[in-house]
Amino acid sequence: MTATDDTAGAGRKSRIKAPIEFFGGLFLLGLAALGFYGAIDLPGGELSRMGPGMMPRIASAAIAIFGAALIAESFITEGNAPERWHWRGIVFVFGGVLVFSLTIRDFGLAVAGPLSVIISAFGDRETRLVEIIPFAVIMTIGGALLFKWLLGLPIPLMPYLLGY
Amino acid sequence: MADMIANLALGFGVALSLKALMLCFLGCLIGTLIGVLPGIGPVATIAMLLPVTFGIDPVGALIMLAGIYYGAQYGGSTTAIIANIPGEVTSVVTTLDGHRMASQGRAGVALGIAAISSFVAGTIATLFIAALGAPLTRFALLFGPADYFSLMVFGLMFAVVLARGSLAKAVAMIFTGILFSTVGTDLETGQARLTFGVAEIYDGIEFAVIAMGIFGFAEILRTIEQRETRVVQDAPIGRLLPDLSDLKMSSGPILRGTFIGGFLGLLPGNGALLGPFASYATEKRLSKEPARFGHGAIEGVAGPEAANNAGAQTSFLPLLTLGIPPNAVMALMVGAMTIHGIVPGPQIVSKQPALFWGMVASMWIGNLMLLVINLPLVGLWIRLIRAPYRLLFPAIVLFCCIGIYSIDNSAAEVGMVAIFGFFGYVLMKLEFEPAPLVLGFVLGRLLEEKFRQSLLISRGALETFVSHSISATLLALTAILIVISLVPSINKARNKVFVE
Repeated sequence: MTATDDTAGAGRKSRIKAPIEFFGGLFLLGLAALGFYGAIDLPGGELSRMGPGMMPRIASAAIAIFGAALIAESFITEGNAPERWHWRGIVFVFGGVLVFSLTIRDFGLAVAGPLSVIISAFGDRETRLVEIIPFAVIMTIGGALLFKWLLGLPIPLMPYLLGY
Repeated sequence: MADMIANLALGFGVALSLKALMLCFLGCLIGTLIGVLPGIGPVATIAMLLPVTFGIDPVGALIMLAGIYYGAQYGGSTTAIIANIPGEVTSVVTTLDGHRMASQGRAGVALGIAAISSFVAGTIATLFIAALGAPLTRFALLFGPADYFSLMVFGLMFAVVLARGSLAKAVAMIFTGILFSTVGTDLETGQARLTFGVAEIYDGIEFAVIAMGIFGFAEILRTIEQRETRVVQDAPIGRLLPDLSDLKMSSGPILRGTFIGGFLGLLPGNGALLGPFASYATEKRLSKEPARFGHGAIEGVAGPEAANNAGAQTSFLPLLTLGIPPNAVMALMVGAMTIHGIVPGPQIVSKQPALFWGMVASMWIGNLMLLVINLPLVGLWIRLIRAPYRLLFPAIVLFCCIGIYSIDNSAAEVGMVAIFGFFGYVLMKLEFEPAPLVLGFVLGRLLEEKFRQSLLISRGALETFVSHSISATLLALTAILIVISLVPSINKARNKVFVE
């Protein structure tokens, strides 16, 4: 996504003047396609008796129109290139969240808590293992104290050992 | 007038019970605690703390949530003054002069005047709400489906004008939000819509999931990327209480800010957002020495802070009287109300007066508590702001996960936060504003319902939206708004406001 020249092909200067609007337009067209596809089997009905498919189609059509307009604009008006993506943060922070969601049911907070803290921490270059491991343990205990015992929410702690 | 006093008495009867006071206090305290963390605005704070209120009775839960909201707002101002990091758009203005004051060794006075102006604004706004609540409710009862539809269209258009950047992109975001809101079972026919066979979203997408992903996680990633630019003020805090000349300089701005913010907060489509900007511009224009602004002028903190808090409170009115949430925070309040079986709308005032007036009274108590807990605890807040972000953000991630899991005891929803977080990141990089999307999502279902109802009544005739006088007026206002925002010079001025 970062290299804007890719879209122009080799040896040719890009005719896209505002790459950020161009990608924005593509993004909207993608969303609209998803909306149309998801509503493909739903009856639209008519204005006096709207079916479940009407609103998704109106919204998707509007998104598509704005997407096309953005792409057209990107060939006419000068604009910026999109900012660079920092994959490190994306991978580790969302990785931590996903690991939490995959482990919380079967292994409980005792496992999901420290794992999510440690994994997401590596989204930042300054993270050190010696520091983050004890911190993860303390935060998990704090979270358990607050949500489990103080608030009584039914979050599993150690299902395999304690049964809850 | 007698009614108003009787109602307020009822409200204070509810809000002054020991339990309500405790909940309000706890809400303010933990709201500030989380809100003061850099990069966490009120929306993410409330989304994270929503489950905390599940075990409490409805009135208590809403009192506590309101406390959390004020706390988060004030926490944002503290971060803005000390670390020059606005927790959300409304505290951007506070960074201008507030942070300057901090670097001049007057951080304490800036924090003090922010607390005092918030309290004064809160007091006036509470009275304002008490006075307007009943008449607005009567007015709301006149609204038919077509009028509701047009009011929401007006609110959405207003949100578009308030978003920074391109108008076309903001409108596209509104429709994206509406598209997301159609996901799940159709209320009238029971058919599953846009679920792609995923069972977890048959009930629709949980609002807290979208809010947390798009506001919370996108913000965490942005902060990690921009780490190098963070400067925390090392200058001494100084005394906390403003002296007589400070107060004298601030009194006018506080009163004007309260009225500007309070009025704008009533508008649907997050008008409260505009309050601090409008107040700052007003004070700069009225000032005899406008050059002082941007260099630590106390008026530049007092006015916008008052406007911010007044707007935060009056924005409860569209929700409590019309059932229409004007911004993301109020949408989270709807979520909380639904969990407790309360349907927001004009019937609340008549059927659950204890709830309505208890909340109004607790707004004032919450403001008083903020004044009492925040100033003595300033040292703690500053230590929190200075805590290394490399430790803060993993802890935030953990508590977000626990919070989202606890809303529905659903592990899948935690995973969905990651998906929407990534979606929010893409929006950020492509310079799409998330606020209109969120409002579109919030209003989408109601918008569709009222659109369907109106057309069912009118047998498919679209004229119904212009033949009802309230609806026609609102649509005319919307049209004026569109025309105004398309005028190039105003459009330029709009961008300038946000750049400043």
